[in-house]
Amino acid sequence: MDAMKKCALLLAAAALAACAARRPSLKADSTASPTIALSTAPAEAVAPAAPIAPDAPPTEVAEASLRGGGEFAARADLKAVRFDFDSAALSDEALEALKSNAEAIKAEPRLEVRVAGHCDERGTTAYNLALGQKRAKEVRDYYIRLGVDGRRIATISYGEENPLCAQPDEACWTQNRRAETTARTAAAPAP
Amino acid sequence: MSPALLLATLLTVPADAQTEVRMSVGGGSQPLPVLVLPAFSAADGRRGEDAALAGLLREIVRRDLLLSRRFDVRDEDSGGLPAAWRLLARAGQAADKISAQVTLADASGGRTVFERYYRQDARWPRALAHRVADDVVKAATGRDGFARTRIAFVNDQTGRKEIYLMDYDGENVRRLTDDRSIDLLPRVSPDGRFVAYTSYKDGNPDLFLLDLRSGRTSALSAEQGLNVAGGFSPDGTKLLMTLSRGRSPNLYLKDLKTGGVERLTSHFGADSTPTFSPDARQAAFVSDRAGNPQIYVLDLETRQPRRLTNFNWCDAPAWSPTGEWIAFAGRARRGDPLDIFLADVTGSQVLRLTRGEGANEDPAWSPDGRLLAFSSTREGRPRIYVMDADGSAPRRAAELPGASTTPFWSAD
Repeated sequence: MDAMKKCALLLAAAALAACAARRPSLKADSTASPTIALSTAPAEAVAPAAPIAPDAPPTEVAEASLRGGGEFAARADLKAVRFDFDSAALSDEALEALKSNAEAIKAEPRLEVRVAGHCDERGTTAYNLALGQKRAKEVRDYYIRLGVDGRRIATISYGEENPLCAQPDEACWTQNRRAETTARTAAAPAP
Repeated sequence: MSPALLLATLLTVPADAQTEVRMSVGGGSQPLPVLVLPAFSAADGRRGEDAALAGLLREIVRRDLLLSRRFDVRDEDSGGLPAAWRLLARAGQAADKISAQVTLADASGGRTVFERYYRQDARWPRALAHRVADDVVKAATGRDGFARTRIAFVNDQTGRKEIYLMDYDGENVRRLTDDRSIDLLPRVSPDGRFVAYTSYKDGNPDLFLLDLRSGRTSALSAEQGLNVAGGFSPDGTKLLMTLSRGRSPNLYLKDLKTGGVERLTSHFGADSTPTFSPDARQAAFVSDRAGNPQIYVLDLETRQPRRLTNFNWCDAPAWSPTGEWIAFAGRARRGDPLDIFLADVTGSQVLRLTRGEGANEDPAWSPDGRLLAFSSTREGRPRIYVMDADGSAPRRAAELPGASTTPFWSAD
């Protein structure tokens, strides 16, 4: 755990610079700006045989919390992106839309965004929750690659629970397989 | 929880169960033994209430015995097979208690197998009748019946998805939650006391534990991202979960005594819906690590996964209580609706249980492993159905407004 804590603190100090794809854990309380919270996650299981030169277990890190603060609202300059059936891959069209979204997010430092992953009704409830999470994560990861501070981006999966339409046909399913980016203004800019 | 039944006398206890011959899924079947069930008599023939009670109890017992699929239930001795069993009862009410004196006889030899006196709060005639049916099954077959089991599920008749519980026969439906959010994927603890479920009520899909005894709900896992219950261990001390923690969904094991959480898989793809094997040594789960979702089996000691299925899509595994089968929702071709399948634990044998009747999802085993509950759109909106584990005799479990999904069959 010590190693994890150090790493998390370093990460926080270095603001993501040090460890690509590893993010500091964040939790916003109900009113204030996000504060650093250490992950309580246990380390990875270690193989039974002791390695000669053990590596530190991977640090568990979380992302911006969705709890507290104001409602996330849709904005005209934050476009939703669509996905292929049973896929979390970003199409060229989606990448273009996300680039535009990322510029809008970066232009307003106090903006906090939430990426919500959605699925069509095919497949089970549980699988679609997982798939929606993957879709949201893909979008979040891409925003980070485009230079958006990961501490400003939270994700949520709604699986098949929040469809835009309910007809059992491809036209409707296409609309429902989406990731939506919504935003709110933080009480104070992220440090 | 239903009030405890008072068993005033226990004249005969059946010899304990021997190993049952393995359920033959899809195989031919022997004719069922005939059980003769004459009208129950009223304790006081002059009282209409007693006659009505006797009629009600008999009807519930009759349905339980039919649904047990262990008897050919007849009203009277008739032609054909000779009767194997004869069930007689006399029922009456005194103040706020109902009672029934029940005799099960071996019809061929005339020997009394048991004679028991049941007493119950007058508000719970179904509980008394279910107990009688389970006792008959136990005495006649040596196996536990499921007449007192219940099915948890999700229904959206209020306009929101809430968790519900019903008796296995679709009666006694009650709503357990009032979260007015999205409540999903209930899993009942093996003792029937707790229901774990996911709710968005706090703005994140968190995992809650509802104590049916106290009515209190506590947060079980509220980490950022997905918090979804997989299955309780058979001893009720551990819970398999799917958590995403800001990354891809992976499998975790929570020790419900210590609160400790252990990570089981660490994969870039999505791992989800873990379910324990009956010996708690393995877990079946879904992963899309090979592309499309497939069922895998994880050895909980070595952490080695092995792939079980090789369909276009496989999802929602449920390990049979007998240990031999893993039920899942799958499809052979992209674009097909989902159907229910069984795979044996080696993956070498796959049996199809539903075909051409809407989308069929989320199979859940009865505690004795003889039936499967599942959701289906075969009659329009999603409803809960129950079928034999070989796919025969599907029936709608309950008729409710709204969509009913993700059944979970509680052992108690």
